[in-house]
Amino acid sequence: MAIGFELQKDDYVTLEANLQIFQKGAEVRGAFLCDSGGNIIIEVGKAASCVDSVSALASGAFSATRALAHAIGEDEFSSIVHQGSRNNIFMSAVDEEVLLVAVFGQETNNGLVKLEGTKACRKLLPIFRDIMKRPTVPNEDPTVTFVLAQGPLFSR
Amino acid sequence: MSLINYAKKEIQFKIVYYGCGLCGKTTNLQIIHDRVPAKAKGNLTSLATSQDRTLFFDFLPLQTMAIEGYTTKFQVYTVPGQVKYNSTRKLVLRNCDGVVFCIDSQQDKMPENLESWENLKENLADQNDSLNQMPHVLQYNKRDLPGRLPKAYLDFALNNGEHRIPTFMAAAVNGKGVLETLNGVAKLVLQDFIDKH
Repeated sequence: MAIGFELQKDDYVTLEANLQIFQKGAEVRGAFLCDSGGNIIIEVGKAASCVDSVSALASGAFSATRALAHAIGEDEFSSIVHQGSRNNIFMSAVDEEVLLVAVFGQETNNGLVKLEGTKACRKLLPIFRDIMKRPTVPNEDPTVTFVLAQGPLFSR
Repeated sequence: MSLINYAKKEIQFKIVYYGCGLCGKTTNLQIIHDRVPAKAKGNLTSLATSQDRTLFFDFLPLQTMAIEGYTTKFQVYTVPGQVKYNSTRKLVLRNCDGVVFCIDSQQDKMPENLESWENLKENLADQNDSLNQMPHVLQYNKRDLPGRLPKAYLDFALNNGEHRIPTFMAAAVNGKGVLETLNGVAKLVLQDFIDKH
């Protein structure tokens, strides 16, 4: 089983602050970070009404794009923009495991989003490297335990 | 790859439905989406061909309170079953926390079931994972069809290891066994998570 990662409260605050700086600088409607499995790590603004689905699709699309890059002899296409008539989406790899996704309309432009996105990814990379290399059992609060709730998980 | 967010009191897991083409993976997700209450589910997303065959994946986000004090999210995916889409299956399988291996119980589908079973093991090995470390269950699907094989035969072919894998009898098209399978794998994933923390 792949090793998961854990976001402590301080991580959350740091990531949120960086993402808010990106959102403000790039003037995007909403942005989030997700892992390569499509799980949302953190979200600011409002990227979409069903952001879980957007995250899963963005992660899948970016993984497919990475495979395409390999197929033509590139290491990777570090960022992608899909441009619509009213809405656009920007995706950029922070590292192998983490993706920055932003949704924006006519209020900004591709160039600014790419520029701010590249800057944000550079700032986020060392933060994630630090999170990933930490032991998965939280040091700061050894009393944390997880207890299974009783009863069926999913029923009609 | 489970993701714990202590600030938001949220834990996320990824479950993948795996199996050969037309074994009923997408039907499982459609039934789950139909039956789970609205507050516990998001939109069902299907990336399918014009013939309704899964091209990339189906995706259904679910939410429950499985761990006390934490919102528990399960991101449920299917893989495309057709042999030619192996690179896509690898992408979907990445960082998953639990697998449902869906089996078409009809006799003439056994070679495809076995090929898909081996393919799952190979694709997990490619990402340095294995079924020994991955919570997983078997779903013997299409139990409503006349050409179905006996459970004992399917166990002999697919569940003959030292540790028996939990199995669920299902006729997904009628909804039978679908939520039982989901609950079965979700509990294994949660237990595995608790054991590691």
